[in-house]
Amino acid sequence: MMKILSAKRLSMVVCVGVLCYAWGVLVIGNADLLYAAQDFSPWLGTNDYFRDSISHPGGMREWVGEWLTQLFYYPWLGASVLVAMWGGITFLLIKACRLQGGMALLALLPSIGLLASITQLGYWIFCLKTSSYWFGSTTGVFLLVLYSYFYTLARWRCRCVMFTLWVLVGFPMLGWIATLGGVVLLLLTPMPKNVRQWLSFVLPIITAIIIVMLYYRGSTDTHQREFLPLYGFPYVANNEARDGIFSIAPWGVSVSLILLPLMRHFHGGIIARRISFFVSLIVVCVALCGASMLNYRNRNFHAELSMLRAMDEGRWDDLLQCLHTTDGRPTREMVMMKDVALTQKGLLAQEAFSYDYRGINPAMNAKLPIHMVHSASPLIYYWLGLPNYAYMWCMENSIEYGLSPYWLRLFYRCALVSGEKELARKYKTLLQTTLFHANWDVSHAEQHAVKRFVTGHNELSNDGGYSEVFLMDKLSREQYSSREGQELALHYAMLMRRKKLFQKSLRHYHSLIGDGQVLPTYYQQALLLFGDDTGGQKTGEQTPTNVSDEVRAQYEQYRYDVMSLMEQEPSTAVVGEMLYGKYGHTYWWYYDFYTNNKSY
Amino acid sequence: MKQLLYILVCLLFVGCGNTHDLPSSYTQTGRLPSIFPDYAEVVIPPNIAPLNFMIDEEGIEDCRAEFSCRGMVYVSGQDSRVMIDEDDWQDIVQTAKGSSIKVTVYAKRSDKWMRYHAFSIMVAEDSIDRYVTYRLIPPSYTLYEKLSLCQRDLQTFDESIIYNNQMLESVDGGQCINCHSVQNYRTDRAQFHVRAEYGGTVIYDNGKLRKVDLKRDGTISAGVYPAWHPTEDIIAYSMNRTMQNFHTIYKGKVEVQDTQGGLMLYDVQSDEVTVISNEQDRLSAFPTWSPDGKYLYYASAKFDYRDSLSLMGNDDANISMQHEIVDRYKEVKYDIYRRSYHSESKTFGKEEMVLCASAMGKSATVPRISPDGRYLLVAMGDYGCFHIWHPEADLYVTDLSGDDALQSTYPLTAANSNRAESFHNWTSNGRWIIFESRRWDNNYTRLYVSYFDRKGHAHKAFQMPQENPDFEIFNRNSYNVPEFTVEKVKITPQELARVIRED
Repeated sequence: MMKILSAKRLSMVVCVGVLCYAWGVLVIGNADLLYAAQDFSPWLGTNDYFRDSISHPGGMREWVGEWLTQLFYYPWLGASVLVAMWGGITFLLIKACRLQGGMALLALLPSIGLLASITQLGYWIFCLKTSSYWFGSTTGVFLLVLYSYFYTLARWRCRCVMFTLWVLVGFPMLGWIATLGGVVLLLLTPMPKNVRQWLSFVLPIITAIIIVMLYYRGSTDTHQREFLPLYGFPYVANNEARDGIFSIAPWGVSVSLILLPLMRHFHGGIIARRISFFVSLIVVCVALCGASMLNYRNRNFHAELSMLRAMDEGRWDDLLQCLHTTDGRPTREMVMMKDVALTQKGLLAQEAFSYDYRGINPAMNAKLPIHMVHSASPLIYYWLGLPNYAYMWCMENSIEYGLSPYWLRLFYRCALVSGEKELARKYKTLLQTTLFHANWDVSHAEQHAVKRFVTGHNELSNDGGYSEVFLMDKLSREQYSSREGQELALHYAMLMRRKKLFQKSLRHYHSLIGDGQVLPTYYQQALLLFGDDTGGQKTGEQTPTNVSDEVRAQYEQYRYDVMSLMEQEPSTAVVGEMLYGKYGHTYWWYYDFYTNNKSY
Repeated sequence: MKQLLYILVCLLFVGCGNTHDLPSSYTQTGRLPSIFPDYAEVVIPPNIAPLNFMIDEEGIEDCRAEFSCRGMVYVSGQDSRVMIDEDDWQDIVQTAKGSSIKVTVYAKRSDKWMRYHAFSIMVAEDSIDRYVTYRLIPPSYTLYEKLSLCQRDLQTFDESIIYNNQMLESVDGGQCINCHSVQNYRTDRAQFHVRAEYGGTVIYDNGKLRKVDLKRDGTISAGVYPAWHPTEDIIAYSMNRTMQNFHTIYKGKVEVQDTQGGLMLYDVQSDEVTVISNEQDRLSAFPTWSPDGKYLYYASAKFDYRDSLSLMGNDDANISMQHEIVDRYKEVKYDIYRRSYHSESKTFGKEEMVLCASAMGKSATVPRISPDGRYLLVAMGDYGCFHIWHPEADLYVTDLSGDDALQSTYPLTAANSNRAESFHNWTSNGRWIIFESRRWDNNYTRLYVSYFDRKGHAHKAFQMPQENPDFEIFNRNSYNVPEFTVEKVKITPQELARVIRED
């Protein structure tokens, strides 16, 4: 008896340990992900939104799940509620399925699956069409096991009523969870002893199926191509891709919920119970390992999330600080955000090439073709004075992935900068219906900071979904009335290696800063380069600004080093790598060796 | 039992009685209230739904509105909203038919009541067609997610879905549904397009439903903007190659442009498509029939491609044309033309200029002829064809009985705003115009109705009434292409889904 009690207590200790571990994984390892989750998840406290939400099967569960997702604004709060619900699921499963001794550990499996479904998401966070993904399944499963628990306490007649109610009311409110629940309830039901008992179960099932089918065939908000009983299953998919690997966790949750009721019939002896503890422990460990393997730990991804939040909040120093937490090279998006930070700090001309600009594509954890326009680009457009483009992508993304606080705030910002007061009021009113963003507002300082980069020059163009190339091309052709703005134009002219545009922009820049001002070193470097391209005649001699002797000397040395190495090593890429340590932070190196200017 | 009856009778009286009392003491504000939607001094039809509104001012704790007309008084209001009972409203407007309703608004702020200047709502004798169909869509640019074709009963607040693209949507992609059209205000014949997945044109013809592909050899595209002949089984379409580009700072944000545009005729019975016109230097769009069916009106721009001429017939020609249109977008100006239609041979006569808007420095699109055939209603902007994105675009009419179209053309000043108006339509009696406008926030289109009197003047437009006055503040959809019908659509969304699903 003591041994059995020990196994039970040990199981409880392991359960609590696993739940604490889950909390740690969420709060310590994925706080930025959780914050982003609430920022990119829609929920509006309007009647209209509620009506829309509940118009399809499972809509109520999704609406509640979306509301709870807002709690991730404080990651510890959201994670605590989530883990508490998982604890509830585990406890109620043990009770409902009467899991004996060490078998109680198996009740952790659904929670582990739910944890994995969250931590594995990675870049899908920006393109997720299942808006209640974060809390929706947990909410559904929690209600399911709670209902199951009371179901097991009820007598036969009451069970029949409960079963009918579940199928009839549960499906419109819970969607696929109701189907899963129907199976779980059946498995928790003792074998009927006579024809009457059989009929009391079979008839409600048939009636319920017919009513549900008829009801939803008449609905105009229900996808008629979707398999009705699994309506609302959390597929990770959008219009471009559908990723099967993300279905492992929710399917795992479903299968474990179906298998656990079968365990209630296990009544082995003491030895069998001891073995069951170890078997259960191994199963839980394997599940935890699986969840850990699915956890998307890419440091660039997490750095991007932190940088995005810093850019959203205008914390430029923090944004630049995030660049030091990367996996080797930063992504192109990080490089772009870095340029925005330097632009807003007025340091673009001085420090643009002092950071690693050799951006790479993000390391995808999935088949997802992520584009920057889904994540940071709209905000980058805004900070760089292109509110129309920011607004456009706000609209496109919010339509496709939901009107979340992130998009609402950006809508509001764009409307303010564009002088559309009524529109700003609309978005502000909508934002005020949310839980934690109701009092958010845009400072005058921010509006002023953005308006510095809004030019008076209108033209028709299209970014085609490739924001980086578009920004470089467009802004390199702009002419600004402020020094910071013109530095942006010069920077992109340099990145595009556009000699004539650079020279034209530089002349304008010189008129803005006045005579006698020393040009930033990178501009001097560019002048020497573009001078070389004009047949050996130094462009610097044609412009009113001189290049310092020090920069000229460095350039001579650079040319000498390049030529020396090129004589030994025919591969330009190899020479570039060899020289990066010494000259990587010069414009010369960028100009000569940086060719991997990918955009996505 | 007696007690129960007594309680029921009491409840009935309480429910019917007017429980809203006007404040006994108040101060005069000396101004009109700021209300949303703005219904002050508008002309309304006698069969319109209640004009519920809210007081759009800070700190309003309570309000009352007194509606009075010919000795009849009705009071309503709670919080900052004035919600009018539908039956009471019908009593008021029927009493006020041909005269006006005086509306006096009282509001409580900081626990003190104020009374505003009264305003009037004129009730015309002419009724409005009961139903209006439109597309509901978030004002997106290239993407779409949830679109629906809807029908609204203007006499009540009932809105029903004709078809919703979610019915067949899958995670692999959705559908775009657009350009719905009926024949001569009735719903026995109707059509709309489905793009992308399960694409085609859905045609409903007296109980028969089918989907057709209107892209045929010799046409630039499938049918785009439709126009049912008022009596015959034919539909005129424009054929267009369309693209979108974005403005850097212009408040119109997006520019929808055609690089090619012609006209074609679809015979519903024989399923035949014939090209009416397709010239390389012309961009034609927005066909519409005269009410007698003897003329086909349309908008058309003459645009001389310079750089792309040498590439015509080449694969690069279309890209080159796109670049030229983008670079010279302000040069594209549409005029209104017409061609006579010969019913026996199903042929068209020569093109006639009706309104040379370009001579006014303008571009006129979406021609619509009044049911009496006298007025041509167009949207005019500075350039281009898609005026609903042009803040300067306004509604103009041309009195076709005049000798000189330009002299007889004038803006509907009272109905217009300083933001975009377009996609307009007449009621079957020609006394009401419905149109889209971005006047409230410059981005979301709302539907407005204006009275067009017998002297050819439009009156201040009012926003299509909604049960909840702040509905349009929260509404995340735009209204597209409103079209009046005198009866309900006779087909169900499920039937439409079934036909669309068939490949």
